[in-house]
Amino acid sequence: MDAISGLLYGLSVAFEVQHLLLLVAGCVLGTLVGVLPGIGPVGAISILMPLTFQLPPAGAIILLAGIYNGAMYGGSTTSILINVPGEAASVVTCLDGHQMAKKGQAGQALGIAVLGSFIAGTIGLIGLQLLAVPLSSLALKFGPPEYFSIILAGFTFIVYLAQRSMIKAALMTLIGVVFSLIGLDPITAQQRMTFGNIHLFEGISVVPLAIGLFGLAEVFVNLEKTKPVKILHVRIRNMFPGKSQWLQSRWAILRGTVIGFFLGILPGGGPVMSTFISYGVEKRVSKHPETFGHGAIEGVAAPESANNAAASTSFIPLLTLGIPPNVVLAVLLGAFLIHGITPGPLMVVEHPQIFWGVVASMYLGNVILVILNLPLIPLWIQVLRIPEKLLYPLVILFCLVGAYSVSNSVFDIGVMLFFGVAGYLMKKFEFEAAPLVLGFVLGPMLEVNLRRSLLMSQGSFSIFIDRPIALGALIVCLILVVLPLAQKIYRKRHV
Amino acid sequence: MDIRNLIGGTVFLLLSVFILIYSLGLGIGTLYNPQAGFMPAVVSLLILVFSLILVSTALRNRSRRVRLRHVWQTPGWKKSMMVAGSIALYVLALSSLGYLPATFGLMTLVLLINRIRWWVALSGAAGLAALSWGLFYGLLNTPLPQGIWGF
Repeated sequence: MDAISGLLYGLSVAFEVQHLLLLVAGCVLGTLVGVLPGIGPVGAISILMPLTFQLPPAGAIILLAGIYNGAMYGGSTTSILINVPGEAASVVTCLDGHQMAKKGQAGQALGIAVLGSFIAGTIGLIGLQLLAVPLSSLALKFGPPEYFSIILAGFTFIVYLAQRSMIKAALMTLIGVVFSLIGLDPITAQQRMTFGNIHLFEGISVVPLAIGLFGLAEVFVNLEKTKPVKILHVRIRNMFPGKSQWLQSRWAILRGTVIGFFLGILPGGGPVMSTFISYGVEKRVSKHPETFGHGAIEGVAAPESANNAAASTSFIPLLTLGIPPNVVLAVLLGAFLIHGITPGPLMVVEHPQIFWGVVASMYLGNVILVILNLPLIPLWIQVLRIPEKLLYPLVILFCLVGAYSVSNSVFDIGVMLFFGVAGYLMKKFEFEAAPLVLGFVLGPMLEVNLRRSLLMSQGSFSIFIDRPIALGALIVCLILVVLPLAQKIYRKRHV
Repeated sequence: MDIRNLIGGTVFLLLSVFILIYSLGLGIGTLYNPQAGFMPAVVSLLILVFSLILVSTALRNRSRRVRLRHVWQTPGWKKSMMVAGSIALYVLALSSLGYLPATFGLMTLVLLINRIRWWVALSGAAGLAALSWGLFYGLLNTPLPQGIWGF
């Protein structure tokens, strides 16, 4: 099936009444999650995943993908109106978006964020649609050495693109791998780190882990805050940016889209990283960099375009290789597996309904989100007025039931609590949680492919050098390790 | 010195030593035939190296001073820990008490910790417990723990 006929088939799946309703529900829930500060898309997808257990796989993934895209759109609302990012990918939008709102241009800021997101998201989806099939065909030729090297390169990217310390990110990735090793050995079926606990025989599920780290830990952090959120009292008159604002933002949207497009595919990149880089690039190329931070419309257009392009293209490695490039997709991989579908090169052949259905629903989702976001902003502002004292108990309740429902086990609530407290302490000690989840999800794949490669080569590491794709990935790893060291030495010598 | 890196690094250092010893017990095998302890051993050695770098960097870096009291200076952390304690109690009581009474108890505690008036907390907790029971048990057929009273 080529890309055009695939999309047409996908549209026929997405337009089924049940799928359409689920898509709208996902978009609304995602926007709500994006609007409310505290719980981001990872927490929301993890918490709401049990709601999808009764649904057919295509419907479940359409709902969860809708939440992800909705959160990318909704996050800008709080950034612009209250200077508090609804989720991490909207942190940069605060800088100029809130300044625009203070100058009475809240409508234009929200408008350019939504329209930029739409353009970038759609371009990202075209990339996903065109690249997915050829990449899947290429990935069919991959063996264990290729997979091992690509996952290792992924880990190196995660560490290289860490938002804080690279050493801490490396540690978190490795700790994630350690947690993934709990349970039965995948080759010999020997018990590992179960300490005789029957609940650990099958290992830890990604859902309670992610709910703990991204749901409960966020609640703990937010409970510490003593000051209530102040909402800017603005009258939103015109949601559509004027001609001069369009002209001002057009290259910012395009550059943001390109940056988001490529960073979305890279492991460890994703929407959050793309916003920071696109903002930095805009400031550097601008003729008036001094206006950034004081309400420059390019400062809103670029990051909001980048995060949506990245959100779309991040599906490429997941759907074609079965490798999630960021933490949201890692949790989505968990959802795929729970529904009995293994993402990877065979997915487009074995599950075309889900593959093309999800791609087409994301196109539709983009349209629905524009329709939802522009007129419903006054409603989202009202949502922000819900007292946190009432909101957080509700989130805790959903976390509890979400963790329990995966395998109807009270033990999983304990696991969630453990990771909730661990995530809270990690925030206090400035350790990032995202590399841990990626290490946890990719750890088993890394181990199995390493051991299979060694079995194939009778213990020789030359298997990774003899095969060009594996060698290429290892060279990338080497460059990413050497580059920061070289930069450090260069800086020391020149300061 | 950043005390957070020193503590974090030391914790991971100890953890890596524990995993290394544990993996030796599992059996590492050979490169030709790696066994169950192979991957934990490799990962623990890497954790050991990175945590040593973190600890040594924390000890050498005197320009950035962060003390433990800076980490816990927000008074609200006690509230977070009280909520965590309440959830721990909930985990212990859920199977025997059943979903509705245990959730009602937890929500009451959480709302009271958030300084909501007692009568609002009680009615809110009852409403939240009933609502979630209706949604998950009634609508989505999730088999929630029944406890001694059967609900």
